[in-house]
Amino acid sequence: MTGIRRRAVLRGGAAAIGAAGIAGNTAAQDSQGAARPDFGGWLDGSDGGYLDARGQDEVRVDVGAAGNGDYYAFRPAGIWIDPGTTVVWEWTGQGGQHNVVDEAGNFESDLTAEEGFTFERTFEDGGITEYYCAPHRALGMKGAVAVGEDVPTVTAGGGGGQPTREPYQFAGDTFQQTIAAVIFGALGLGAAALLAAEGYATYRDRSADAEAAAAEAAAEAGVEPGTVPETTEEATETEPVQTIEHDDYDPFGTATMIVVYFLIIALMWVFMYFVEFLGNGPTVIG
Amino acid sequence: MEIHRFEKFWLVASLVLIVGFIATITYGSVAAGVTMVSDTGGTIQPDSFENTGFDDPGVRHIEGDRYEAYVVAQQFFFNPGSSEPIRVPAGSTVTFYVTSADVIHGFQIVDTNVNVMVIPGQVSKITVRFEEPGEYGILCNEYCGAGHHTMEGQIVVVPEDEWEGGSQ
Repeated sequence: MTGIRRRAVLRGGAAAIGAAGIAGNTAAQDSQGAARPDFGGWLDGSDGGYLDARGQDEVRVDVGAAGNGDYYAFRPAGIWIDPGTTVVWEWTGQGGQHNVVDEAGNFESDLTAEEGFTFERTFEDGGITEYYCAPHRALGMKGAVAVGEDVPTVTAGGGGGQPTREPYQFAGDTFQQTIAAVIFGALGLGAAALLAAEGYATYRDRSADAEAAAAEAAAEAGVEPGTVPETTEEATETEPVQTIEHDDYDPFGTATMIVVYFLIIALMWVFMYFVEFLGNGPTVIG
Repeated sequence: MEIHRFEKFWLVASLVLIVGFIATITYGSVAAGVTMVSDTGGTIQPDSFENTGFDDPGVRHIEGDRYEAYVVAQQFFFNPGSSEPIRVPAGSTVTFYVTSADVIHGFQIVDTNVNVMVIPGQVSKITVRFEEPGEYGILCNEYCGAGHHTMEGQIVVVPEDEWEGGSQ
């Protein structure tokens, strides 16, 4: 975090504290259990606070106030007004471009970062209007206007679940995925089977050799095969059972594994380049 | 040094594989016509888009089937693209000019190889041919801040006779 950035955040924090002081009567009302509109969870997790502005002709709401991690808040976010009250949204010029968009689609302001830009709307009908800033909605930049006395209220914090945003759905090609899974699965199983067979063969040969060597050693020591000699001596050097020349050794198992690796690499290349890179939709041509 | 005949086999096979990779890339750029993104878009003042085409972003018709689309990427949306889709006609060749108003972003048409980094002060130029009507998602694929995960948009390819002058 740079110094400037830190100062901005500190300033934001100070602003938040200041706003909390201004809205002190709100907090006091809360502690006394005063009724406030139930925004149905719309403002859960959003900064910006609440203001009971009943009795006022005009309410100002800052757009781009400190909150929600940067200047991504409406302040006050939740307001309670009388019918006929005009709400004026005033841009602070902070936090980039913002707008005011009605969740129900009845109004939408320009998208701007201009300090001092205003957008206003007079609410005649009773009810709750939910709005948000389109670029910063997912960060919690949301607000709500409750109009009139005929709105649901709560005496403590509002309930409701956290609104969630539907994540972007990738258009996955299940056919390609299935084919790839089958091919790579079969390759994997084949490789595992080869490895297991090779391993078992080696183990069998080794144990046969070891038994033969043990029997030989026992015979040399004059002990009956199968009984344990009483004294442990240094391991006797045994002659190699079989000596082969360099080119007589044929590591077919290793060769098979390498062929399998090459096949996997070639297939992955084909899928990556020809199917994924070249085969999908529009292509960069310049 | 004595090399076992099996080792000779897989040495040759790996060389063939490498030659094959290079050959397919060559095929992609020569036969399939895939081009790399270059710096031909030039530079721009990141804090002032006056008279650059980015002061009024959108899709414009040049001539014939050629179109140009100016897109500004900023925290956390594409303009146009996010609040309203970028509309281009089918059967068109669209050159996208994308720049950033704040930090580094990405501009990727999902599931395709249309993918370019968007850097403040630079114009990313990328040309794409859209043949059929359809819809494509756009994603920012460079982490650009707290709302990065929400930064997405849409390109809508409309039938040629329904195109009404881009998104503005």
